[in-house]
Amino acid sequence: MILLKIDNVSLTLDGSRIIRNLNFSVPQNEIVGLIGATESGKSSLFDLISGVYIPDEGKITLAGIDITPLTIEKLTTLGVARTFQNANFFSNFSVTDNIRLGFHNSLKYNLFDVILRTQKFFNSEKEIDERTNELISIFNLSDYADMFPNDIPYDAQCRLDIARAVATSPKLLLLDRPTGGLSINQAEEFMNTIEMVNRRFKTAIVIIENDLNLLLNICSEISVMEYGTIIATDNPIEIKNNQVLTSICLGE
Amino acid sequence: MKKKFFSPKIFLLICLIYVISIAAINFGFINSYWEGILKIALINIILVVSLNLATGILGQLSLAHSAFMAMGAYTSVMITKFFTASGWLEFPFAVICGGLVAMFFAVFISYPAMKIPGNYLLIITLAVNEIVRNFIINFNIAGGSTGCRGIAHYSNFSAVYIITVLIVGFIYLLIHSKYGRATICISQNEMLTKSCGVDTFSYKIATFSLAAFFAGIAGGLFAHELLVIEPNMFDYTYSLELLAMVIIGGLGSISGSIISAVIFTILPYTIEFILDIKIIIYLLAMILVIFYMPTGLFSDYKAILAAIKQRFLKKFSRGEKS
Repeated sequence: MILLKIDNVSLTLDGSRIIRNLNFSVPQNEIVGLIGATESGKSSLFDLISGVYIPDEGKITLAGIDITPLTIEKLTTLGVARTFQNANFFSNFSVTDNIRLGFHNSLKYNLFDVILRTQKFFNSEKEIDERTNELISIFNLSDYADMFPNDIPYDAQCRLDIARAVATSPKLLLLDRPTGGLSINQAEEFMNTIEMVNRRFKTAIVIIENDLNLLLNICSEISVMEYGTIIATDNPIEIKNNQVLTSICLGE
Repeated sequence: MKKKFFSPKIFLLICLIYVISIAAINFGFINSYWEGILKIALINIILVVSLNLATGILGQLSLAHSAFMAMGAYTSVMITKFFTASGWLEFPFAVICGGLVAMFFAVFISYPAMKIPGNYLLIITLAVNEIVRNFIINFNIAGGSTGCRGIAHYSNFSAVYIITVLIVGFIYLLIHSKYGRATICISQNEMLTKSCGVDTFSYKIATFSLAAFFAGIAGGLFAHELLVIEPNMFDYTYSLELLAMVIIGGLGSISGSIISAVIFTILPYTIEFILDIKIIIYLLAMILVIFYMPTGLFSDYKAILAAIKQRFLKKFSRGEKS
C-alpha cells in the first residue's frame, strides 16, 4: 500500500526551477533510498514533502489525504517527521529535554490544566517522561541523558536527532543525510539503527544518502535524482549494476 | 529544566512577605512614602517579568512596554473616572479592560512583524512607543500633555501584592509546561521547533500579546497609585529602563527579574544622587552585564558565589606566592 504519493510536482525558487515534474511514491513500512549528485534537488524534495515550501503545481498525498498546501507544523501532527542536514538540536536543553520536545503534541493538556496543575497535567507529564526514557534506552543515549547536546559525541548527536523525530510518532520519517560526517563503521552501525526504527515503530523511511553501498542492505527500492527530477526507481541491486546510474550518483 | 512544580516553600515565603509588610505598614514601621515605593516596586515586578516573557523566553526584543503600560493606564483611568459605577467593582473591571486594550494593540503590531523573518519587531515597537505618547499629547486624550489628575486611589498594598503574585505565578506555571518549553525553543531554532509540531507563529503572537496584557494591567495599577499620569512618564526611556532590569536580572530568569526590579526601584530612593542619573547607571550596568555576565547578575546566584569565591581564592594564592 502506498503511503506517500507525489504527483507531477514542480517548485521554482528565486527564478530557478529546482524540482521539475517529479513523481515519487513511498510504500508503507518500507525504507526508500534517495540518491543523486549534489544540487540535484534531494533536500528540496524533502522541503516540499515536509511543508517548508509549497509546490507551484502538482499534488502530494499522505495516506489518501491531500497535504499539498499544509505547513510543517500541521504535517508533523499528521505524521511526517524529518531531520535536517547536520544534526540539529536545542543546545540549551539536555538530551532528555530535547527528546521531550518531540512529544509536544502528545501532551494532551490545555492552558486550564497548566494553571490549576490538575491531575491530568501531572499524569500527562509523567507518561511522557516514561516514553522519553524508553526512547533514550532504545537509541542508546542513556549515558548522555543529562548532558547537553554540544557535549556528546557526534554519532550520539545523530541518534538524538532521529530520536527527537521519532518522538513525534511519525508515519513517514525523512532523513536528510543522517550519516553525514560519520566514519564508515559508524555509518554502517547507524543504518542498523534506522532499520530498527523501521521495524519497531512501523515507520516508512526515506533516506537521502550519497553512498550507494550503505543503502544496499536496508532499502527495498532506491530512486535516483538528477536535475530536479527522478530518473530511475529500481531495487538496489539493479541500481548498483547499472553503470550509467552509478556514475550519475557520483556526479560524473 | 528539571521538574520544578509549585512548591509549598515558595507559597509560604509569599505569605510571609505579605504578612510582614502588611504588619509593618499598619504599625507604622513603613510610612506612606515608602509604602508607595514598595507598590511601585511590585508594579515594576509585573512589568519586568512580563517583559522577560517577551524578551528572555520568546527572544523578541520589545521597546514598547511602556506604551502598553500607557494604554492600560489611560484606558483604566477613563473607565474609573468617567463611568463612575459602584466603587470597588469598577477597579478590577477597569484594570482588566486596560490590559485587554494593550493586548489588542500587541496582536495588531506583532501580526505583521512576526510574519517576516528578522528582528523587525524591535524597530516597530520603538516607533509604536513614540506614536502612543505623541497621540496622547496631540489628541488631548484625558488631559493631553498636562496630564490627568483626580484619579481615585484604588491601588492599595493588598490589591497590588495579590495581582503581582497572581501574574508572576501565572507566568511561572506557564513557563514550566509544554507551552513554555516550546516558546523557549522558538528563539533557539525556529525551524526545528516547527518540525516538533509547534505552531510557532501563533505562539509568538500569543506570548507577545500576553506580555502586553500584563503591562496594561501594571499600567492600570500604576495610574491608580500615582493618581496623576502624564504622557511623558511613558516615554521610551522607561522601556529602556525595564529592558535594562530584564537583562541585568537575567534573560529568561523570573527570580532574577524579581530581584532586579525590586533593587533597581528602591535603590534611587535610598541613595539620593542616583535619582537624577539613574538611567545612565542602569544602561551602563546593562552594557557591563552584557559583556561580562551574559546570563545576568541574579539568574544563577550559585554560579556567582562560586565565581566570587574563585576570585578570592586566586587572590589568596597569589598573595601566598609573592
